[in-house]
Amino acid sequence: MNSIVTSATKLSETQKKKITSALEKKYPEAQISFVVDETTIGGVKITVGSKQIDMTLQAQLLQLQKTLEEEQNGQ
Amino acid sequence: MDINFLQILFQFINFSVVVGAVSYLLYKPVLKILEERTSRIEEAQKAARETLEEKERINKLEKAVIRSADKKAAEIVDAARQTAKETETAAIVKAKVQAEKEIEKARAGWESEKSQLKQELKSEYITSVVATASKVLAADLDAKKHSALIDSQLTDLLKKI
Repeated sequence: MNSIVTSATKLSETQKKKITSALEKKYPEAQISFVVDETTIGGVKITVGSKQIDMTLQAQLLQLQKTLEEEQNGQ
Repeated sequence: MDINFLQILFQFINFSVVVGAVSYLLYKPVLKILEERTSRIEEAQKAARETLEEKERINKLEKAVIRSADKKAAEIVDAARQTAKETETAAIVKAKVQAEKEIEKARAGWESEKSQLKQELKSEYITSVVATASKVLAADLDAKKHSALIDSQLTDLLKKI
């Protein structure tokens, strides 16, 4: 199973170790790779198979936009 | 001058015979003719009176018929006017209702369009604000701040894995 850790800038070794350790514990067979994507603005996104944990600022801003649009549509 | 009484008697008898004969042969037929003529005249007068009376009756009847026809015609004209007035009123009311419906429809359409436009503007505004925020954050977030941000997220992130 492939695991992709995406961030806007390169992660520090400590950060990588913490993430790798947690992923290996939960998914022992996972192949972990770290990717830099500036469009995420900030924060980290982890994709394991079909599961995705998105804590990037891009995702949060998109969520904020969605919430605002839903709120205005409900008015 | 001698009076001949015999001659007088003879003349008297002769006159009487003539009078009798004339009375019998002429007077009675003439009288009968006169009576018949009088009777015809009376009948003719009666017929004339009856004709006049009939004419008078017909005149009265004619006048009554004309009055009745005039009254009936006036009633028909009044009814036609009333019907025309009612039709006109109904048409005006119908036109007003139709116009109000059209106005309401146009207003509803305008309101809908306005609402949609407002919605689109808000949506564009939100998109624009988020895009600007993205740019500001991207510009402001250097490597140090980013590392600090990830450190702050790590605890929560690792719990979610």
